[in-house]
Amino acid sequence: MNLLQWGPHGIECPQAGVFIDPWGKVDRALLTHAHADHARYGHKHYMAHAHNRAVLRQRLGNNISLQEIEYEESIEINGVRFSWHPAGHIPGSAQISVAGNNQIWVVSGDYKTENDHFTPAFEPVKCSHFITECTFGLPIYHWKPQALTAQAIADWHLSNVNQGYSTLLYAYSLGKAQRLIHLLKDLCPIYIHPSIAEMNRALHAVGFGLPELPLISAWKPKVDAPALFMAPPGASNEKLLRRLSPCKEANVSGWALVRGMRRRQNLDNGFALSDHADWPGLLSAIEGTGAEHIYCTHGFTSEFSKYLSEQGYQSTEIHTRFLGDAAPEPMSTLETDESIH
Amino acid sequence: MKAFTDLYHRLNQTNSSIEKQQALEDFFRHAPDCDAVWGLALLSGRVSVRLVGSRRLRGWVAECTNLPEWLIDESYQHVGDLAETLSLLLAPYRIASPDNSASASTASTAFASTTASTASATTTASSQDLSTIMLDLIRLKKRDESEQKEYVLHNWRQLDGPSCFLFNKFITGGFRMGVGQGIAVKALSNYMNRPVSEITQALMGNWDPADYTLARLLNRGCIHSHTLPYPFYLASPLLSSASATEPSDQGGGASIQNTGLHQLGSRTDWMAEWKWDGIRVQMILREGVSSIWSRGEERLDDAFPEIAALAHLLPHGTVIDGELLCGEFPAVRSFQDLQKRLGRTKPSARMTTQQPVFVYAYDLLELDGQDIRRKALSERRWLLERLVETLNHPLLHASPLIEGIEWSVLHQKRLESRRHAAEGIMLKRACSVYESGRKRGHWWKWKLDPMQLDAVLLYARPGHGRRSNLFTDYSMAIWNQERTRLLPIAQVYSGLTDTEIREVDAWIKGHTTEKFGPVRTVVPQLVFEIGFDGIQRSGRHKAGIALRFPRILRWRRDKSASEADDLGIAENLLNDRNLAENLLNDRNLAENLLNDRNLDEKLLNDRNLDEKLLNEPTKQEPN
Repeated sequence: MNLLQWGPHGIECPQAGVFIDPWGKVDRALLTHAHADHARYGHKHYMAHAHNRAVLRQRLGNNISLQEIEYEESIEINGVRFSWHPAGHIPGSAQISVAGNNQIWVVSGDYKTENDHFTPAFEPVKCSHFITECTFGLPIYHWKPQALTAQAIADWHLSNVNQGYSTLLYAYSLGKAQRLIHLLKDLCPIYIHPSIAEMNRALHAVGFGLPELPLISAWKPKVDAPALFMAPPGASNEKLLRRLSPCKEANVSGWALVRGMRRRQNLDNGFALSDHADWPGLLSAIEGTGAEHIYCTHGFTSEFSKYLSEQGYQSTEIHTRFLGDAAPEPMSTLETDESIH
Repeated sequence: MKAFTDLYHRLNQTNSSIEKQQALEDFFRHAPDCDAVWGLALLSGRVSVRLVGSRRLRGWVAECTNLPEWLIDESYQHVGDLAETLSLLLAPYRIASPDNSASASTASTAFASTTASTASATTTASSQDLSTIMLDLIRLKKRDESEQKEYVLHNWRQLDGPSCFLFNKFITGGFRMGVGQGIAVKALSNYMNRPVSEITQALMGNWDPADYTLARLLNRGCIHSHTLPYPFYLASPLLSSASATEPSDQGGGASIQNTGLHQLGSRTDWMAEWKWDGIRVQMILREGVSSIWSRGEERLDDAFPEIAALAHLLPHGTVIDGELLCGEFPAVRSFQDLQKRLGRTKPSARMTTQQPVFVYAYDLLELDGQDIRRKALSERRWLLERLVETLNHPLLHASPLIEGIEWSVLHQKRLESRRHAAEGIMLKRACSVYESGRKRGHWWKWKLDPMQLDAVLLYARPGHGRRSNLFTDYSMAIWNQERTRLLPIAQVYSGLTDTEIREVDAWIKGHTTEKFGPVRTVVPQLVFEIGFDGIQRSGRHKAGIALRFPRILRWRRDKSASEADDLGIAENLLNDRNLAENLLNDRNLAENLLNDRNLDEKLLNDRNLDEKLLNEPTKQEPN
C-alpha cells in the first residue's frame, strides 16, 4: 500500500493519521510553508518549520496548537518517520520527507532551485516517490539569474527617477517582498506597504535579517524625491497607493515572463522573478531525488506529467483542489502567491 | 538590431503618445541610418517577409531544444504568440547563455546555472544590423529549405531573447508595431526639423527601404511627387448616445444627444452627404501619369483597370478624393461584393462585368496643377461638380448632397441610410479646408446605429497578445427557425471591459463541455447583444447568413439562452435590406422584372383571350 494517498483533504498518510497542507478540518496538519493556499485555518494541531512560528500565529491566530520542527530533525508517528528539508521557496518553506513501509516519499511543497542567499537553499532529498509542484512546468519558463533581474529592476527604477517618476513594485508580502528587499536594499531607498512591514517583523522575530524600512505613508507627495515603493498585488486599488503618483508600476512575478501576461495587467512593466522552480529547475530537482515515481500537482500537471512519462518516469497527475487549467491571475488577492491562479 | 529591439520594447511599455514619440525620435537619432529606414518601413507595415511556415519552424525548434512537438504546441497555447513561444523555448539554445545543457545535467550544476541571456549575448546581437537581417531574409525567400534553416538556426543562436523574438516575428510574417504612423511622422518631423505635412507626403505610397537612406527618402517628395497622393483628411465620429460602443480606435469622437445636432450651429453652414461603404481613394493625373491610391496607401491601378483608364481622361494636374464602390451607378452594392475585386491584379473580364465599379467623387484637391486644399469646401465642391459634368464619364459621379435646411430632416435621412446602401451620413463644414489626417471639428461621420441580435455564446478560444490565455474570441449562435438548435452566426472578439472579460473567462473555464485543441464548447447560457453593420446571405456559414463587422455591444445578464434571437429575426433584417436594395438601388432589375411581368400578363391575357374564344362557343351553347 502507498504510504501517502490523496482524498478530500488532500495528501494524507493514513498509517500516521496526518495530512500535508490539508484543506477542510483535520486533527493533524503538517505544513510545508505558510502561504495561504497551503496553511489553512481550522485544523486542530499544526506541525511546521520553526521559521513559520510568527507568520502562522499572525495569520491563523495566536492560540493555534503548533509544533515547531527544525530542518533535518525527524519525528516518528506510528512507525512513519517525518522530516523537514529546505525547499528554497520562501523563509520557513520545507519539503516534507515521509519514510516507512520501505518507501520514502517527499512532498516538495513549493520550491525554487536557485539559491537566493536569503532563504535556506533547496536541497534534493533522495526518495522513491516524489510529489512535485509544477506551477511553471512548461519549457518556456527559464529564469534569469536573480542578480540580472535585480539589475534590470534597478536600471528601470533609475530611468523612471530620471524622468521624474517613482517606481511601484507589486510583490507578494510573504517571500517575494523580502527577497526583493534583500536584493535591492543597497541600490536605492525603499518604502513598503504595511502588510509587507508586518511580514518583515514576523520574519525578523525568527532571525531573518531585514532592514528597518519606512512605510509608504511616510512618503510625502511633491515634497519627497521619487522613490521605490513595494506593495502586494492585492493592494493595487488602495487609496494609499493612489497618492504616489507620478509613478511607474511593475509586477514582479514568474508570470511576467510572457509578454501577454505583462501587458494584460495594464502596468508599465513586469519582471520575471519567481519563488518557484523554472523548467530546468523542476527537471534537475526531480533528477536529484533519484525517484522513479513522480506525482505532479499545482500547475501544468498534465503537460508536465506527460513529458516525464516520455522521459521514462512513472509519472501521475494528482488532482488537487487547485488543479485545473485556470489561467494564472497574477493580480490576485492579498495573501496568496503565484501558485494560486 | 539593438536600437530597433530597444525601440520595440520601449513602445510596448507605454500607452502614452508622447513617450512613444520620444522613443521613436531617439531611435531615428541613434540608429544606424540604414536601420532607421528599415525601422520606419517595418513600423508602417511596408515590409513583410514570411520566410517559413509555422509547422516547419516548430519542427526546427523541436530539433534545437530536444522537446517533443506536442509540448511546443502546448507552450504555444499557453503563450498565445508563436514568435514569442519559440524565442522563450530557445533560451537554452542561445550561445553565451550558461545553461546550454542545463535540462539534462546533474542537479548540482543545474542549480548553479539557471538560464540567462547574458550581457555578452546582447553584444553579439547588436553587431548585426537590422538592414542586413532584412536583406538576408528577402534574399533567402527564394533559396531552398536547407539554406533557410541554416540561416535561421544561426540567428537563433546569436540573437539575444528580445531580438530573437523580433526575428521570429519577421520570419513568421507576423510583425506589427504598436504605433500609428502619425506618431512616427511627428517624431521624424521633430528630429529632421521639417513640417509634418512634408514628411507625411514623402512617406506615402510604395517605397523600398533597400533603396533609401532616411534623408533621401524624405527628399523623395520632390522627386516623384507627381504620383503621390495628398494625406487624406479623415472625419471624426459623431456618436449618438445609443451607439456609444464605437470601436476604440475611433477615439476623439464627439457624443451628441439625439437632438444635439444644433450644437453644430446652423444647418446651412454644413454640407451633408452619404457615408458610402467602399474604398476611399484619390485619383491622380499629373504629367500624363495616372495613379489610384487607397486610404491605406495602396496603389489600386492594377486591381481596378477601368478606374485607372478613367483617371487617364482627367485634365492635366487633377486630384480627386472619392469613394470606390461596387455597382452600376446609381445602384450601390455591398462592400462584400467590392471585396471580391480586392487583392487581385488584372481582374478577368467576367470579374469586371459581374462586379462592376464606379467612383463617387467627394472633393477636388488639385486643379490645373494647383493645390486647392486651402480653398473652402463649398468652392472645391463647385469646381468638382463642373469637372465631373464636363468629363461626363459613366464611372465618375459627384456624390450627391443631402438637401434640407432643417437638422430634423437629416435625422430622418440618417435612418434611411441603409436603404441607400450607405452606412450613415457625413457632415462637412462648408467653409472647411482640406486638412491632413484626423482633425476634429469640421468633418464628422455620423454612422447608423448597428443592427442587433441577441446571441448565445457557444464556443470560445483564447486571444492573442495582451489577451493570450484569456478566452476572448467567441463564436456566437442564434436559434434556428424552430428554436430547437443553435446555429453559429458570428465570430466576435470580445468588446467587453477587462473585468467582464475575466469574469466570462472564468465562467468559460467552469462550463466547458468539450475541448478541440484550443477551442472550448461551453454550456449555452450566456447571452450577448451583438451589433453589426451589414447582413448578407452566405453559403459558407451554417446559418446561411454572414454579418459585417460583428462585435459585442453588451452582456445581457438579464437574458437566458432561451430568450436569444432566432433565424427568423435575422431573416427579417436580411429581407429589409434586400427589399430596400431591390426597390431603390437596382432600378434596372426592377424595371426588367416589371417588363417581364407585363409581358407575362400580356401573354396570359392573350391565352385567356384564346381560351375565351375557344370556350365561347360552348358557353354560348345553352343560349
